[in-house]
Amino acid sequence: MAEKNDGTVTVEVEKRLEDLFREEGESFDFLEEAGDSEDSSVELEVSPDFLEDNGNLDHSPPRELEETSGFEEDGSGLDPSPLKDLKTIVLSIDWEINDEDMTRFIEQVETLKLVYEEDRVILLFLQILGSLGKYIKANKGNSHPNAIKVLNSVYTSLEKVLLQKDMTAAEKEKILLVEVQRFKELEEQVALKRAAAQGKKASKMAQEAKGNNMVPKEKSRPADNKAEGVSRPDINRMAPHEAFAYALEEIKQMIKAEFKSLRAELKLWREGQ
Amino acid sequence: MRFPGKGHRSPRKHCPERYLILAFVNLKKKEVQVKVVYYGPGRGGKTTNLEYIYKRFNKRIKTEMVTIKTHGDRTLFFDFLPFDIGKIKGYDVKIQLYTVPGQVKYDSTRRLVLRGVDAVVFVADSMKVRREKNILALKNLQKNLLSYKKSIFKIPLVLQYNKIDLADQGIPILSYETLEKDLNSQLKAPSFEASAMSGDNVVQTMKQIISMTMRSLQRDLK
Amino acid sequence: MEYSLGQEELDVIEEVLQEDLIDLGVNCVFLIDMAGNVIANLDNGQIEHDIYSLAALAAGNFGAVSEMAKIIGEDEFSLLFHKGEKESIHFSKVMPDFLLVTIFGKETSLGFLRLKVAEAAGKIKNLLEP
Repeated sequence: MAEKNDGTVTVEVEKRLEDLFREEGESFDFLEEAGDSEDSSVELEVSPDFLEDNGNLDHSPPRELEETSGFEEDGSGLDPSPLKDLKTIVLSIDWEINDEDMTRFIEQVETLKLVYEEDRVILLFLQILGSLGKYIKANKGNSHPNAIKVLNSVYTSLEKVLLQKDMTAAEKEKILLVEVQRFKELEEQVALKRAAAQGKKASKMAQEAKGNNMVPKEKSRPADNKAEGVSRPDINRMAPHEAFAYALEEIKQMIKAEFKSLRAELKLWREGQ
Repeated sequence: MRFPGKGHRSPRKHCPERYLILAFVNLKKKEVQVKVVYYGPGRGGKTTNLEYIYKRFNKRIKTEMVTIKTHGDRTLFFDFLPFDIGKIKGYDVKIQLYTVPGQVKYDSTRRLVLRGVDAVVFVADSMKVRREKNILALKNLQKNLLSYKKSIFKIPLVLQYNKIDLADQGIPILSYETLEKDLNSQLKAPSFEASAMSGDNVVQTMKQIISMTMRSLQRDLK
Repeated sequence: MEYSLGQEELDVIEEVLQEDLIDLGVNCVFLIDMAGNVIANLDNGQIEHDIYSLAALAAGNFGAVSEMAKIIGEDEFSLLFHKGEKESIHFSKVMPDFLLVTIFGKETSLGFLRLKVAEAAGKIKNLLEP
């Protein structure tokens, strides 16, 4: 009975297997061949201790990492470093981004701002970090992928600037400018991303026949973010002190714009509910 | 079916219907993945079965073999030999041969590897000294299958009585009748005497298990 | 638990993996079941890994690690991640039956990846268990 039903499949399978596994001539002597042929099988040889020693499994954020992404070993050591606590949090964020750690990050940055309020360069670094922290905390998985990279980069530069004793003011400023530039590029990318997302959302909403009053708001939002950038002077041509004053002002504006956008987005979302 | 070779037995002609609950059919890709696990006591020849198939046919079936083993050449986790047998009824049929580690201490690992199994080849060791180990391993198979709510009486199963070549070297081996009585009196599965080292009945065993397994596919390949 | 994945569901899954992970910069992502069968796999077009062997090993690896967790009294580990020089690999359970495996380079932050993986896993779960 079973034979009747499965006839065609079985016949087809058996024929296929016959074709694939035809053994010509005498039985193959496996032992003789073993020494000659190239062993192209993939072998993973592990020590008998494999099951006990699996250093890759660690679900808690490491306190001491020999190698972490984005961090350079500058040999200057960390203890006793004013950045010790911040570094711990930054390392933690590298492994896991959560509310608790982002809050701690922001708080630590605020603390350090008070400590370094007289040092404009450090202060600027910290302001950028603070802004990034707030952005990532607010947006989490929706953050621009580069945000965390920029955060790591800014932190690394801050560490360099703070801990290397023999760095001149000019060198520190140079490093800062690079990070400011990076931050600005990120800000543009975020604006683009937001515009693209809103474009998608707008067409979706239009399809659902929502009111017209939403459209002008959305159109104006990307402009808001770029408002201060319409006539942007070349930061590289300014004198250092001018550049910093300008950068500081720009960052303040960016942070304001950021929060404005966030509030608008929240409002839109609430209205859409 | 007749299988040439010295002292080899043909499989039982009247096996009770063994059906299968297929683990994996990908309707979108029109692909069927069939998992066959070679099970049995340690050092019984499970890995050797796969190694033979690999070394002999890897160019024809275009495959790579993955082995996770210890420095002492004992299977630590599993061996894995995947290959396609082409289109059957419009579906790409991918066969995945696995072995389990046979040593008693790797029971958890064996159970892991058994997850999602569609068919089993039980490789028994014909050496007289291994008689009890064969029985224990078969009981272990039954227990581990049960943990996945599968029955050793229902899953496609072929028994292979390996290492018959040792008889020529004067090593005492169990007779076919003894092995059948110990292992196959209730199961009534197809069985083969074999020598994995020299390749005798290795391919036949594999063909038999694949054939049996594919029989049930008919129902699902519509 | 048994799942039935038709073309529609698979299309949605692929879309989720593409948008949340590949577009993020992940090199390769595959969704497998715990037996090592490949349900969906996507890459950035430059990958030639042997997905089937990877899937078998990933399932075995994850399975072994899960057993280890139980032995030491944990329900499960929250992170299974192997860091390479150029490429790293991350495993994430999606419901009790599936595993999402991502392979990514140095330019992707693990912390951020985990957020996106969790998001993708959530979407797949909603799709299969509405």
